[in-house]
Amino acid sequence: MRWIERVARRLRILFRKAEVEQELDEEVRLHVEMETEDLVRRGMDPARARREAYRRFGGMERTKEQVRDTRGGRLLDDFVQDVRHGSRSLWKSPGFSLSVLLVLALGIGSATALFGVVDAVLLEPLPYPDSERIVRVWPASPSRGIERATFSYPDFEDWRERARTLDGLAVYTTLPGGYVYLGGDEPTELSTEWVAGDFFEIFGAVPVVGRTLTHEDAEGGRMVTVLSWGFWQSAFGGDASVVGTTMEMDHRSFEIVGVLRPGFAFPQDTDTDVWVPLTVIPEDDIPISLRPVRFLQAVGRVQAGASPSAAAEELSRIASELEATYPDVNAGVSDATVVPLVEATVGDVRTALLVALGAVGFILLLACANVANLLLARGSDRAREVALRMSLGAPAGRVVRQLLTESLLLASAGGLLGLGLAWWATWLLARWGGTVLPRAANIGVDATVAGTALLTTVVAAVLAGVLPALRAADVTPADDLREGSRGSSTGVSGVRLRRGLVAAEVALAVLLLTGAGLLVRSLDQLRRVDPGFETDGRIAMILTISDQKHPEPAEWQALYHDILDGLEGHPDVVDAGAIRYLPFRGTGEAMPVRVPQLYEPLPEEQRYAQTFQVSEALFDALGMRLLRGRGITAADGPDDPLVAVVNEAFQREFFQDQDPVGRRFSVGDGEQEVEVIGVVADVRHRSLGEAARPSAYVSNDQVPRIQMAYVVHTSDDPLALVGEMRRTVRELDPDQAISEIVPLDELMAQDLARPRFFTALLGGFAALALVLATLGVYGILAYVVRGRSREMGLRLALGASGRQVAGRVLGQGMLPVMVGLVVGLIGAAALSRSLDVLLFGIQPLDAPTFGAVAMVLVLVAVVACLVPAWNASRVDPMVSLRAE
Amino acid sequence: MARSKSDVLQGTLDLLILKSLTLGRLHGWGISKRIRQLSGDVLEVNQGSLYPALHRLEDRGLISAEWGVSDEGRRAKFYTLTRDGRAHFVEEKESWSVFAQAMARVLQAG
Repeated sequence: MRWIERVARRLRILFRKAEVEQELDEEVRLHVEMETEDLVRRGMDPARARREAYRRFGGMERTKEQVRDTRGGRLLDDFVQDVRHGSRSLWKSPGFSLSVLLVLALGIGSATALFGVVDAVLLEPLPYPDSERIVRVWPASPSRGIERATFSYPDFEDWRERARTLDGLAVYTTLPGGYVYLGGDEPTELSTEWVAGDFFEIFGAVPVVGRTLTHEDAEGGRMVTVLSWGFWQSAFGGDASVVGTTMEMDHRSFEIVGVLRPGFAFPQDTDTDVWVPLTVIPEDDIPISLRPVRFLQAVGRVQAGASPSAAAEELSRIASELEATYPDVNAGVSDATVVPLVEATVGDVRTALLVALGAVGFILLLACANVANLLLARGSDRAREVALRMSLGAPAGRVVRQLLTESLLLASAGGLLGLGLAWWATWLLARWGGTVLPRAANIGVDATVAGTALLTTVVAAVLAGVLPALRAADVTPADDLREGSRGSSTGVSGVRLRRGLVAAEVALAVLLLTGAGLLVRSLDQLRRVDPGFETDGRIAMILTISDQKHPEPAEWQALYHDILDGLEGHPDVVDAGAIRYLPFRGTGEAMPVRVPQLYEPLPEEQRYAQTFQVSEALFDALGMRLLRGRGITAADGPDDPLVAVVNEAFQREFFQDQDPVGRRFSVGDGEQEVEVIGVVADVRHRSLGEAARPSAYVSNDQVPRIQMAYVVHTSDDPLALVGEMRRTVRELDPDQAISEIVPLDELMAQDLARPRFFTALLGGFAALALVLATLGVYGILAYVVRGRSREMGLRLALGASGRQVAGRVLGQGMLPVMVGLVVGLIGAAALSRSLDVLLFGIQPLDAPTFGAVAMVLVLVAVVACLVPAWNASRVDPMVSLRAE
Repeated sequence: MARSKSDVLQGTLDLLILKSLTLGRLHGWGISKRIRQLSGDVLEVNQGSLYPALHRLEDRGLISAEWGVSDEGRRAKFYTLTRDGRAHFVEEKESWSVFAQAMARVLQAG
C-alpha cells in the first residue's frame, strides 16, 4: 500500500468511525456465523454450535478493542475523543474554565506583547543590507575617560584613507537649524544632514532617480543635494525631472542629483528631508578644515570577514599614529571605539527591556502555577470520576493523556485569547513607547511573535498540566471511590503540593512587586530633583536666524533683539529671554578653563566647562536662581570686557571653596579672559537624573549664536501664546522659519517619559502578579474550607468558637504566604542588583521598598484569607454533619 | 495470561496468515480454517488474535481487504496479499526456515 492509501485509510478510521466500527461488528458476526454453520455441518445441534462458536471466538469486545489498538491511528483517534470529551466537560464548568482562560490569556498575552517589543527593538536586524557589518565609530581618549568623542574632518579623512578593515567610513552631522526652504506655503526648516565619505554606500541606500552623494562631492565642495522620497513628494509632487535642476535652500542654490527610495532613514526614526556634502558649510561658519574642530559623528562598514574588534584595533593604531604626528592638537586622542550599529542604536534601553522581559517571564510562571492550582483543585473534585474510569480498566497513561488534552485545550483557547490580547497590548506599547523606545516603528505582531506565542502556549500547557494530570491519575480506585463518596478532602500530599504552589506564586509576586517598587521609588526621587529652573507658565521657541539672508553679525543680532523685544511687548508676558540650548536639548559648548594660580593643568589633564549663550533676562524667564553677584545685563555689550555667570558645579570644580565673583578665568590657552560676575544654582541641562556639569552662562551679545531658544514666562496659559509668538516673528522677517515651539513642562515630561514608561510597565506587571497570587491564596483556602466543612462543623459542635475556627483557617492560609514572602524577599534581594542602572537616588536593597512590599503583600493576603475564614466560622454544624 | 503466549506467536501468526493468502483471497474464518487444514489440525488459531493480526497486517500494507460475496453466496470481508505482502512473505519464510533449522540443530545436539 502506498503511503497515500495509508493516509486515506487512517483518515477513514478517524472520520468515518461509525462505518469502520460497523464493518468490524459485521466481520466478527459473520465469523461466528460461519463457525456455527461449520459445526452444524459436522453434526452439532445448532444451539450448542452457536454457543461453541462464541466460546471459541473468546471475548468479543476484547478482540474488537485489540483490533482498534492495532489498526493504526489509535493515538489520533483517542486524541479526537479526548478533545470531544474535554471540551464537553470544560463547557460544563464554565466558572473554572473561564478563570483558567483568563489567567492564561493574561500570562500568554503579556509575554507575547513584550516579546514583540523586545524582538522589534533588540533582535530584528536593521533595515540595511548586511546591517550586521555596519558600525558606529568614535575616536576615544582614555586618558580623559572619554570613550566616544567626535571627529574632526581632517582626522576623519586620515582614518578613512588608512583603515583596511573598513569597506567604508563616513561622517555626518546635523547642525543647529536645518536649511530653510522658501518654495512652500511658508518658510520651512528642512531636516538637513551634512555628510562626507561613503555614507550611502555604507547603508546600501538606493536612489529611485539620479544618484546618491559620494565622497568626491564632499572633496569638491559641490553644491549638490539628495532628497528624501517624502520631501520629493511633498515639494515636487514626485516629478523626476527636478533631478538635474537647482533648488534654493537658505538663499543658496543646490543642484538636485538624486532621490532616495521611500523608507530610507538614518538614524532610524528620523526623517531627514535633504542630504548635502559636509563641505558646503562655509569655512567662516565652521572652520572644518582645522584638525581641532571636532563635531562629527561617524559610521563605518566592517569588511566581510573582519570583526568590529579587529577594526577597533586597527583604528586605535591609526589614532595613535595621528597623535604622534600632531602632538599639539591630537594629544590624548589615542584610541578608537567601534560598536555594532544595532547595539549603539538600542543603547541603554536594552537593560530596561530585558528586565521587563524577565518580569513578564515571572508573570507567565505565575499564571502557570495558578492554572496548575486550579487544575489540581478540579482534579481532586474529579477523583471519583478518574477512579471509576480506572477501575473499569482504563490504563493510567490513558487517563494522564486525557487530562493533559484538557489542559492543552485550555491552553490553546487561552493562547488564542492571549494572542488577541497581545495584539492589542502591542499596539498600545508601540503607541505609548513610541517616544521612549528606539526603533518603535517596528513594533508589531509578526510571524516570529505569533510563533513565540504558540510556543509559550504549549510550554504553559505542559507546565500547568503535567503535575495535576500525574497526580490525578495517581489514585487507588478503591480508596477514592469510598472516600470520594463522602465528598471530603483529598489526601494530605495534595494540599501540601497546592500550598507549595501558592508559596511559589507569592514569591514570584514579591519579586515583581519589589522590582516595580524600586522603580516607583526611583521615579519619585527623580521627580523631587530640583532641576534648577521653572516650567510653570513657560514656553520656548527655537529658531535659527539665516546668516545667508542677514550676513552681517550686527544685522542678525538686531533681528535677535527685535524678536526678544517683540515677545516682551506682549501684555501677558512677564519675562522673555533666550538661551543657546534649552534644558534637556543640549549640554552647551565645551570650553577648556584655566584659573590663574588656582587651576593651571597640563594639556592632557585639561578639564572643561559647558558654555551657554544667554540674553540678559534669561535667568528670570527660565526661573533660574541667582545665588551671588549679578546677572548679565545690557551693559555687557559686544565691546565690553567678557563676563560670565557660573553655576555651583563650576565654582566647586575650578574655585573650590573660594568665592569666584569678581575673579577671572581664561579660556583655552589664555587668549580670552573672562570675569565671573555671579553664581547661579545648578541647572540639570542633560537630564533630571544627571548632576549638573560645570557651566558658564555668557552674554549672547558678546559671543553671539544664530540659533537660540526664546523662553517666555507668561501669566496666561503658555499654549495661548503660540500664535502670538509666530506672528511676532513673521512681522519681523517673513522668510524666517521657526524650528519648534514647546512648553517647558513638556520638555520635563519628555525627560521623564522613559523612566515613567518602564515604571508603569513593571508596575502593571506587578499589579497583575499581585492579583494572580491573591487569587491563588484565596482559591486554595476556599477549597480547603469547602472540603472540610464537616471538620469545621464538628469543631463548632464540640464547642469551638467561630473565632477560633476562623483563626485556624487564617493561620493555614497565611502559612504558605509567609513562606513565599520570605523566599521572594531573598530572591528580590539577589535580583535587585540587575536593576541598578535603572535606579535613581536609591540603593538596590532599599529598605523602605522591601518593607512596603512585605506589608502590602501580607495585607492583601490577609484580606484574601478572611473571606474563607469567615465562611468557615459560619458553618452550620447541623447542616454540614448531615450532608452526604 | 494468554498474552505472553500470543506475543511469542505473533510473528508466526503473521507468517501463517500470509502463507494462507498466497493461494488466493480468503475471509477471516476461511484463513483460520485454511491454517488448521494446512497444519493437519495441529495449529488452532486463536480467533482473538486473528482479527487484530489481520488489521495490523492491513495497516502495514501487507494485505488489503474488500467486501465481497463468497462461494456460498455470503457477504464477507476478503483479504488479499499485496505486492509488498508477497515480497515480505518470501523474505520471512526464508528467515523462518533458517531459524527453524537452527532451532532443530540446537535441540538435537548431544
